[in-house]
Amino acid sequence: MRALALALGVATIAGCGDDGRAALDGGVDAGLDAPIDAAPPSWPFALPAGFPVPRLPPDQRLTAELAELGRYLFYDVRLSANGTQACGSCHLQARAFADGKVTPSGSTGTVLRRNAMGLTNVAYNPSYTWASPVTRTLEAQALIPMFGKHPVELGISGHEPEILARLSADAGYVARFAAAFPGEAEPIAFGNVARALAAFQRRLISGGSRVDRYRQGDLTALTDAELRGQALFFSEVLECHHCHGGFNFTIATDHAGLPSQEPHFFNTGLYASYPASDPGLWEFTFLEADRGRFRPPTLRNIALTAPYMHDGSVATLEEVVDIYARGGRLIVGGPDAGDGRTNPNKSPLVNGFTITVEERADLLAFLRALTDDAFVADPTLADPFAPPPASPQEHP
Amino acid sequence: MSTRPTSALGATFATLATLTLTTLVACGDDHDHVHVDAAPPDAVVIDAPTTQAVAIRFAAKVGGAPFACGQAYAGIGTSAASYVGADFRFFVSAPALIPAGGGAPVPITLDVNANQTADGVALLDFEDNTGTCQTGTAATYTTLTGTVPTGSYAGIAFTLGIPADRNHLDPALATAPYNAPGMLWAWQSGYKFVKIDGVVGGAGFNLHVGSTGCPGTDPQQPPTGACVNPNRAAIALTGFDAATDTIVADIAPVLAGEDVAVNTAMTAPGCMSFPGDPECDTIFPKLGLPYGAAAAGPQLLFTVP
Repeated sequence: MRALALALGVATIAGCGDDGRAALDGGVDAGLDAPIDAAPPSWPFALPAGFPVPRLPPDQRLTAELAELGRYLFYDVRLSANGTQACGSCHLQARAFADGKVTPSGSTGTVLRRNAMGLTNVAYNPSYTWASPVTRTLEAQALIPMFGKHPVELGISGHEPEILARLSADAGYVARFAAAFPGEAEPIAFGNVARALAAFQRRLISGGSRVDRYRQGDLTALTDAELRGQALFFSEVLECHHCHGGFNFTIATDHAGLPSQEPHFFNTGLYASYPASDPGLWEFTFLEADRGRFRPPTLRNIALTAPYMHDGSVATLEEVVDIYARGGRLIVGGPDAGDGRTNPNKSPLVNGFTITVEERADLLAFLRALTDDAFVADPTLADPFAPPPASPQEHP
Repeated sequence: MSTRPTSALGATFATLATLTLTTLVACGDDHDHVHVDAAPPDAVVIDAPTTQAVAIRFAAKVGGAPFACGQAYAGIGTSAASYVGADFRFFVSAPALIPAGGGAPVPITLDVNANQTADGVALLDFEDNTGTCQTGTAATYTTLTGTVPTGSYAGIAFTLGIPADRNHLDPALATAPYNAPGMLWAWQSGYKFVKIDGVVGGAGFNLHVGSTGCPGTDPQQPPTGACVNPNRAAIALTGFDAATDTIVADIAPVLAGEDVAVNTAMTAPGCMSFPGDPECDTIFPKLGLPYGAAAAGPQLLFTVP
């Protein structure tokens, strides 16, 4: 089918002195032509087959040296004021860069209000954090855990010279900053730390699940149950794909070539009345209709990122499916008691559905087939400070 | 120009006519300018006015009132429900003007931009991603622009939908407007040709029109053959003058035979084209499309007031 699409494209271009047609077909063909897993010209790293090129902020660049510096910084506890936490403390590779906790604690012990999101494919996010319409780049997002005081995460504020001194005293960082920022007289600076962290996170691209392998033609990659689950997922009864469709399994996806970088937020009926401590998008707009609206995350590697939702209040994927089947969450008792189905801001696509026990199992099997085992084991994304795995005994 | 003698001007016209003919024979295309490279030095180069620019204005309405995200419209459907606008987008293709003297429609060559393609497909977009509109874009697009051969026209024809050979592009790699958020079902089924959504009493009543019965076992692959129900409506509107008229797309007459406050359990909220959804029974015929046992009727979505 790829060959057919390519042939159609060429046939279109082969007309007389075309004008603008090349722009359209060139874009499509460039993708179809590209060998699998080759780095496109505008992106220095390999992309999974069929993935578009992410959008790089116009004032940023991406190099292997910058991303590698970012990998060290991402996992380095010296980036927190008290030396106890790194980005990687709450974003664990084995959990697709989530942390398995309901909500994490910052370096000084403050419990955060929101669940640590997985970082799968954040290069494709149109916006960052669970509900910000204004945080549009990874560079801007990095400043929040670095310098934020409410809550404190890394806690750099007030300790800036001390932390820069730690980095400057490390010959490895001196060399890595120099390589990442050639020509800069004072490359060890917080703006560059944020740029490097962003560059590393742009490498966290996952497209090697069994669902992908099936799509690429390996018809043995999915079981019958997973295929039945896939059909349910894309059905007009369950409606999952309206918010979790496309190659990245979320409508909140941006990439080069899209006319605009559009953030998306939805109220899923998780609460009848969202707790005042976290009203979601409302914090930025003060519009009542925006209470309880949060960004839909990618479903890639979703089996690894429990617990779920912006506040980590749903423990398992089974419960998530049941909440959507019900058309909103029912909370019996406690301060948040109420029927989420009655939330006036709930997305009209969260309508509820009835599935059999077998269909529920099929759907869950499909969701679990979105796990990319190679991504969570990729040594080039791993903690460089971790002790190397024991080498096998040599027997001469 | 004023310094050129009349005879030289006439000679240039003659050259121009010959070159124009050559161009047409060679390419059969519709270049709007003929560039006379062979003209002698300092000759007057005259652009032959063989084509004219055209702008086709559309307006989206609900029961005669302009569509707006979050706006409530009273009296919609058989239960005269209050219907809140939540999306209003549709793809058109193969736009053509109908000559005033009759004859075959003359294709409009669309300008190429983020909403229009060189292959004659355009996305018209009346939602601005505010309020109840949550799956769209801030930008709107309401006027088709392009060129047609110079002439006198009295009507317009277009297809509501995307042609089959462009409907199943790899969605991850497709370029604008084929990558518009919210307009894709899946690779196998292609695009939502029409996405006109409303909220009634807190529940969605969504009209999604697209091809169904697209064969294959994997939603994330292109179909293995032609879709059983293409669901592309051919629209023709007479009495249309692009210079003065606006084409109105009003969803209220299309919904008039349905109770939009009710949705059959275990079917899509509203009408999403797939077989066996009772909410489509009266809607599809009013789009000029058959649905199950219901035959196509005259389309009621588009009018030229």
